Amino acid sequence: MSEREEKGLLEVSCVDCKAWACFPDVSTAKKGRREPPSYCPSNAQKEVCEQALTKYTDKTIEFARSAALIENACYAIDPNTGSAVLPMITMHPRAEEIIMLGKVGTYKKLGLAFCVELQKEAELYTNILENNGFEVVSVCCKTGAIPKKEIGITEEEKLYGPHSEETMCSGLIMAELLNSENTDMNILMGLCVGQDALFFKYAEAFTIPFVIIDRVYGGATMEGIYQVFNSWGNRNYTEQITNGFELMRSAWLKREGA
Amino acid sequence: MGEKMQCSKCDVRVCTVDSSGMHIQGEAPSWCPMKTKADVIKRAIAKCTDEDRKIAHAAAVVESEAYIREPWGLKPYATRVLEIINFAKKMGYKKIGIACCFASGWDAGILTNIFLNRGFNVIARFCKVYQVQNTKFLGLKEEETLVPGGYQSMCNPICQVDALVDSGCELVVTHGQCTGHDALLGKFSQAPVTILGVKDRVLAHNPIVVLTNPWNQYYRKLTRKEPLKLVYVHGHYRSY
Repeated sequence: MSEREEKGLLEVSCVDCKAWACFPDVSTAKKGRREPPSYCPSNAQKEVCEQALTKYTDKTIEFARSAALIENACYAIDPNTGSAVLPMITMHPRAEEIIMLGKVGTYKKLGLAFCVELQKEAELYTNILENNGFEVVSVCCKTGAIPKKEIGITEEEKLYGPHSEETMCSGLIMAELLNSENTDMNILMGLCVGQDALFFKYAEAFTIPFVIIDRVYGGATMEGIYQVFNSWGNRNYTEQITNGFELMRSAWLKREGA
Repeated sequence: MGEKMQCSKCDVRVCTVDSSGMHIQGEAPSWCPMKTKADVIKRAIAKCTDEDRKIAHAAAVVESEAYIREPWGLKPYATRVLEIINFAKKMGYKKIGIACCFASGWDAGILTNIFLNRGFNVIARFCKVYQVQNTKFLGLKEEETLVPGGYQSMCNPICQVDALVDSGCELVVTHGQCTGHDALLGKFSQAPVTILGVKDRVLAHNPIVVLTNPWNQYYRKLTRKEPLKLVYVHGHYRSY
């Protein structure tokens, strides 16, 4: 908090909220909710939210319903009370959740867009999906083999240095290829920053990110956040954190509602 | 149109280069989209706007700047967080929106600080915005919720992203969204969406472990011969 005030960039948002009116803890769900703060989007941006709710049409609401069912299915349920076991016990990894979502929502034809570096993993996941009765169309990120200089990449900006014959990744071409196959649902594996933005922009079917690339932490992208307090994680900040422990402690206190 | 595309089963990979940066030589398989769908690719390139071109350019530069070139090869340097920061700087974005799951709210606080430290204006919106109840809007049965009889609002990605774009965010970073909710968010977003983290409840948000350790006891249910069984008990789906 203090760090943000110093920089003069203080804009309160959901991370500053302590009321949690929209999400009472599972243990207190039956006791009722607290009042939302004035900056809560449900107060401050009421028209926008109301407008956004109208975007839930038949197909979308069906998808949202399946996603909500899968979300609730991922926790262990106490058979006596019918509510979630506390503290919560989680059940399914994401690879399995995607299969469950495809089965619950009856999406038969899946498109798999992956990074060439993850081809072996993509092959394994294709086999898993096909084994579970889906039809899989897969496409890799270098499809089209368009040279990088077509979008204005100079020789020095190339990955392997000057005079390499690098081809460019393209989320746009992948999305259009999967659109032409009329997939019901797309799965992303390891697309880089920017390419996923293009893919989301052009894909017609719902697109589920599965694996996110992280070159340092081997796919565990969230480590970039969890390890900012370590010497090797400091690179995410511009300067050395002197009060890293204090920052962490204050964040936890806020979470506890103290 | 012939056979369907199966790039994941291709072992030639003529579309990419080897580790020395030279083209891989060989005959592409018959299903290769460069052979069967050349017209689609041509149309896709024609569709590319200036904005897309700028994004693709920034993405390529960010990728090449993510490595340090050592004499023995490439050494990865940039984490995903850094890549997103570099990307936003290259694109000239001023304000970043974090679309985050409630459970990852703590991460969003740290992430907000990281982005602020780099000089961006940040705003975060959690996934349960507008407090619409699952049971009323989506028609879930009472026993299908986590606490029957309690108040459970639904994850509302469309409201979330609209609220972010309405606040003036030029880039939306999703973090820790559940399966399906990020799909809804990406579909209805007016601004470019990039993904920082995905939620994996079992594997500490690193879903690829299933595919890199397939011989492990825990994940053998995915790689075994019989398909997964999906059952519906007491209002909840279970797979085993």
